[in-house]
Formats: sequence, C-alpha cells, structure tokens
Amino acid sequence: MTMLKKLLYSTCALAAIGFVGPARADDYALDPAHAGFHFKIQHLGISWTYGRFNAVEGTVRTAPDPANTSFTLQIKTDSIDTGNQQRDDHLRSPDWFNSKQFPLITFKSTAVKPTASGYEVTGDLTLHGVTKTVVLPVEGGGRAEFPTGVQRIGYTTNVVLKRSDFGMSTMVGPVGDDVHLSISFEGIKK
Amino acid sequence: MPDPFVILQAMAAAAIAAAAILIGSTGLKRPDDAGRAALGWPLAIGAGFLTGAIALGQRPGSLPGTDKDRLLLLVVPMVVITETVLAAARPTALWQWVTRLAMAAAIVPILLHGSIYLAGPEFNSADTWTTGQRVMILGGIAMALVIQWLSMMTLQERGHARAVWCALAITSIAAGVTTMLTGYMSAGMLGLPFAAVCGTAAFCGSAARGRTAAGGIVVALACLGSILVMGRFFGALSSSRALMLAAAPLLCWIKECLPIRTDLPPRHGTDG
Repeated sequence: MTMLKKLLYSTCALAAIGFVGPARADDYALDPAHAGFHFKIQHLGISWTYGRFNAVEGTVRTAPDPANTSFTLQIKTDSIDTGNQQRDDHLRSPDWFNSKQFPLITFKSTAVKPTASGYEVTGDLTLHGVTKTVVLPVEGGGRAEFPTGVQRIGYTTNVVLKRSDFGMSTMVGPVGDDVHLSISFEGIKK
Repeated sequence: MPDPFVILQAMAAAAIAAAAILIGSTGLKRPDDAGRAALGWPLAIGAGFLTGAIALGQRPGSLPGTDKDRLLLLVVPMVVITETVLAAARPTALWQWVTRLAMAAAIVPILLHGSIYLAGPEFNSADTWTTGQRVMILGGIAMALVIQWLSMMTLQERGHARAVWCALAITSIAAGVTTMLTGYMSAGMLGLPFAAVCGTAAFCGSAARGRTAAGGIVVALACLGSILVMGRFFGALSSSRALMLAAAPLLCWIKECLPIRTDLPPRHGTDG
C-alpha cells in the first residue's frame, strides 16, 4: 500500500510539472516603427546638434531570471539623419562613422542585473571598428498587447559615450567628445 | 572646418620634401646621372605626399584599418618601392608594364579592403558587389590607371613635362577641394599638399622630362587616383565628377593633337 501511494504521488508530481512546464524564455524582435535611436552632441560648446539612426534591428530574450535576459542591437550607420544632407554625407564618410568600412554599430549584452528601476545591462558595443564594454542603465520591461494578439515589451536607456574612445576623434573641441544617446524601443514577441 | 594655416604649412612641408630629393637626385640643371635621377623621382613624389599627409596630422594607425591608413601605409610605399626597383633594375619595357599592370590591379582592392563593397554575399547589402561587378569595376579602374600612366609618360617624353606636372597640380587641387566639399574632408585635404608636390616637380625638377621622370608620373597618378577612389567609394563624390577629375590631366593632349602641330616633328629633350 505504501508503495502504491508513493507511485501515485510521483505520478501526480510529474503530471503537475508537465502541466505547468518549466519557466520559458520569450524572444522578441525589435519593432522599427516603435524604436528611436537619438543622439545629441555639443557644437562649439554653445548649442546641441540632434540626430538619429533610422535603420535599426535587434532582439530581446526575456527570462524569469533576469540574468538570462539578453539584448542585441544592430544599427546601420548610413541611416544617420541629422536633417541636413551635406552634414549627413560628411558623417557617413571616414572622417566620422566610415559607413562603407564599418556599416554597422552593434551591441550584444553579456550580463544583465536587475536594479531598482530596471536593469543594468553590460555588453560589447562595436562602433567604428572598435569594441568596448559599456554598461547601459535600462528601464522598462513593461508589456502590452497591441493590437490584439501582438505581445509587446518596451525598454528605454540613456547613456553618454566618448566618441574618441571609439577612434572618432575628428574635430574634438569644436564638436563635443561626449555623445548623449537616448534609446527607446519596443519588441514584438515572435 | 580645416585650418587654412595648417594646410599651407602642409603644402610648404610637402614641397620642401619633394624639392630636396629632386634637387639632390637630379641637380638644378640637367641631370648628369640619369640613373640617379630616375631613382629620385618616385622617391621625391612619394616622400612629398607622405610629408604633406603627416603635416596635416593624418598619421596612419598602426593597423591599416581604414582606407586612409592603407593609402599611407601600403599603397604609396608599394608604388614608390616598385618604381624605385624598376628604375634601379631597368628591366625590359614589357616587364616594366607587366609590373605596373599588377600594381594598378592591386591599388583599388587594397583601398577597398574590408569595406562593404568587397564583403561576402552573407552581408546582404545593396552596396556589396557581385563577382561580375568586382571584375568590371576593379578591372576598369586598373586599366584606366595604366592608360593614364602610359599617356602622361608619352606626353612628358614628347616635351610637355612642365605642362603635365602643372596639369597634375591643378587637378590635385580640384580633386582635393571637390572631395572635401562632397563630404570626405580628410581625404580631400591630402590633395592640397600633393598639388604643391606636383607644382614643385614642374618647376624644381630640372629633369622633368624624358624617361627619367616616368616613376614620378606613376607615383603621382597613383596618389591622385587613390584620392578620387576614396572620395568616390567612401565619401559622396559622384562617379561622373570622379571620372572627369581623373581624365582632366589628359587635356594636355589637346596641345599635342591640334592640327597646327601635326606637321611639327616631336620635340625630344626640351621642356614644354
């Protein structure tokens, strides 16, 4: 009888695990229609020039354990847009982004830590052919369904990078070395 | 914006470097040693170009990761060394031109190495060339360069040396300014001290004539062509403008081709 009870409990436990299943990871693809990759940089120390990148791709993998969450981003450098064609041509040239030599800016997370306001995402940022580890303070992770049946997740981060760290030293002085990046995007569940 | 004072300094430095080597190798009047003069020409033009680049603050990185690094670290030294070896070894004309053809075929792939144009098909970019496009574009530019070398050398040998170097100087200024205005400032700036080098060659090199200066013509046109290739493929210089600028020195042939001159015998060994 004891043996029969053990067998019954074991069967029930296995059935329960099978019903609930292990905690799942969800994959999201970045929604270009709801993604903004903006930057601003000082000009002559008296004003700010604003710009953005229009062609961005990326993925997010969420997991119950934040340590298993991951982010990847790919930004096409020739999609830079500051609202001035002549300046954009110059920014695409080797004096700045060198978009024919280094067509992509990439970010790949290597560690994600939960914080009070979101996550601290550490990752490898490759810009202008130089890869450096950066830490992004990422907020968000909120989810929504829009339209019906389309699951979304959203994140926002603001970070300041020194362009000279990535070998972009043209006109440091008249044009600021600090680049203020503001990134916000939604991912659509695959 | 580039500092005009820095550009003027670079032009002066490039001209002095080229002049020092030219005068040292060819003398102020006619060269008494044609072999030494032939060695001096490619060295003078190459050294002038590199001095100008360094004076502009464009020191190449330790690794040739960009087109400009590859120009300064690989292309210019390759052309200068090859022409110096050809001047020293004096092989037959056939071997000279086979070597130059190989050199012309190597220049643009070196400049475009690692770029989106020569990326593999996995890169999936509209800018990436197919094999057919590579053959046509790279082969076409190499052939155009060889034809230009040949035509300008011929013109120089026919007594228009000063006109050839003046044309190269003017074209270098035009190519530099146009490249700068079409978005690739630092590559365009290279054209300005290089114009000073060509101007120096026109008036300083007493041996700017005959076959002794052939190596200098090869180096000069390789440098000018490289600036245009960089402006076209890495900046926003249009193909039509690049082609017009590349062909501009050939206008010197108009003087040679005018009907009024057809009955005149070729003038060897005199200055144009």
